[in-house]
Amino acid sequence: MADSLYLAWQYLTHHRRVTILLIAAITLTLYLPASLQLIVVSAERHFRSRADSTPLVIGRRGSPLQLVLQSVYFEKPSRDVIRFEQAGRVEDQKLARVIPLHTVFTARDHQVVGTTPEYFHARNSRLSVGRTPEMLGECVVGASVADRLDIQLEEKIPVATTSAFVLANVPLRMKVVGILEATETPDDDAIFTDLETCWVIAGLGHGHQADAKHGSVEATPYTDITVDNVDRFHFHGDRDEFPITALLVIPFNDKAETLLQGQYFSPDETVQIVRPSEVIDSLLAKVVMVKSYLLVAIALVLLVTLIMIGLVISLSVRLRRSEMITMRKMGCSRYTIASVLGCQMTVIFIISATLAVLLTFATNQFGPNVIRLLTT
Amino acid sequence: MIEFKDVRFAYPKSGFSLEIDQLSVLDGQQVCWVGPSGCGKTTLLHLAAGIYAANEGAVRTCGVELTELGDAGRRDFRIANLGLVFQDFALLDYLSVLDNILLPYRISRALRLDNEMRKRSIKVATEVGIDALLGRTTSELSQGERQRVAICRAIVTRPKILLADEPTANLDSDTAARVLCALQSYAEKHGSALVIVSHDHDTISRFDVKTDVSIFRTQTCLDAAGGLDG
Repeated sequence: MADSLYLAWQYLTHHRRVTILLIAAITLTLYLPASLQLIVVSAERHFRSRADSTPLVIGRRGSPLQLVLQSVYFEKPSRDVIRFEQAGRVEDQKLARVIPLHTVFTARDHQVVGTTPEYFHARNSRLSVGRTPEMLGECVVGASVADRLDIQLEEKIPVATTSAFVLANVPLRMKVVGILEATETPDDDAIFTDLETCWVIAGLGHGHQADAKHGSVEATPYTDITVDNVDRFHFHGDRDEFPITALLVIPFNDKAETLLQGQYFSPDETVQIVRPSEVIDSLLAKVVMVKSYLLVAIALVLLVTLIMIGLVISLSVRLRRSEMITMRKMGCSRYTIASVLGCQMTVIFIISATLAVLLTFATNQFGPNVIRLLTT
Repeated sequence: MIEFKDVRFAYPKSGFSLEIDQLSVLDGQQVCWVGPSGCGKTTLLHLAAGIYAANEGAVRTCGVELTELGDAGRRDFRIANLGLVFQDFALLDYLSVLDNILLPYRISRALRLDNEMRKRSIKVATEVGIDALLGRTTSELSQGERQRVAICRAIVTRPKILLADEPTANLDSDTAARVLCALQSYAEKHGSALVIVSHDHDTISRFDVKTDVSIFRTQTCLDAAGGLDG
């Protein structure tokens, strides 16, 4: 066997190009489906874990998927709002904790999430530096936002909105008071502030010179909220009617969850309650279907590749026919010739399989980051 | 050393056959089997080496009745007792000169490759003047050098009989003379029998004993295009 292996190795190293080509083809044949499966499973697990950690979501009646994507994954700014009184409706029943969300605005292409400190407890968010917002106009940013925008504490981020609180076309600037630890969740890409700040941005509250009448020159609103002027900020109207985009609902027990879900079935109801895990399950079922199509496509490519590999091996054996006849004439058995050819294929397959495993391992380790870098 | 008695051999499809009532090669004898192309010289050589098995009769080589041996037995006998030199050299282009010389040891369990055999192969290469080429691949060699590698491969196992099939067919006269000289000097030095198949006059003239193989054929001699191997 050692001699067969030696002869096989000599052949492979002498015909380097063909060997490398075969190894590359077989490596890809093994790697592609394995890595696809791994990436899809990993993405599914990652995606599902976020939904699983969010028991219920209340939002405006419409697409459940859109509601979940906007309120749980902060996919894009929401335009569908509900009244803040919906939070009180749940709280008054003492069936669950509620966390209001306001996800209408963006700042430097990142979602601004207006919420309450309860959100950070519910998500187990931790600060890497700074503190949580304590005053109107303050915000904390996710780890990716801080990296991408190279933001330091005390810097100010202008909110991108035309309908917001502006003075001389200058938007409100939020002060960064903290940076969250990386969690590999959509929180990393969001900017968190308190609900009132979002309402100020929405124009429902403002601050100006004391005693100035609204509409006068002295009533020109402030563009920055500072320690000196924060006390002069005030809201107009009934808070219960102020907008929020969703409520994250954390029921105290299963019974409370069932009771809550039952309250939003009425066709007259303008809001809906959804369980994110169910919504994501139905979405992932479609993803799995797409993956199956992709696997079929890859399987066809692999089949063609395998046929090509078979053809290359068959041609190689044909080209070596005279060599084999010579070896037979010298006294070599068919078994030894088969052993040399077998060693060749074994060496190629072992190298290919090793490379495929290493590539798959690398994909598992670095793939999500690479995909994130490529898609952002 | 080699003895054919009442041997009948026919290729299954072509209809070509040989009938050899009596043919002998003695110990240490140097013989040239001659005849026109396609008359069965190579076939006879293959019968003597046990590459082909006779349909009838007895082929005795080195005292062993080859017709009584199975395929595996003939293979082991061949690699242990015979040295074969092929017309087209039949070297493996992916191996170095040294590895080509040592090939019999790598392809048969009947032979054992050890340091002594490695030293012997270097000595043999030195004797035929290719010791400086041992690390090269055969594609880097001239025709004459390649044939000398083929001879080294045939004699490294110290065979009792050397069988050479048109060993000078593709060589110029000077190189052919050197190749024949190498084969004959090995045979003389080790007391081995040497059988050469040839239709080249210069080669034939170097042998005292010649056998016309065409007398053994039983059908019309076909040319190479007719599918015959000898």
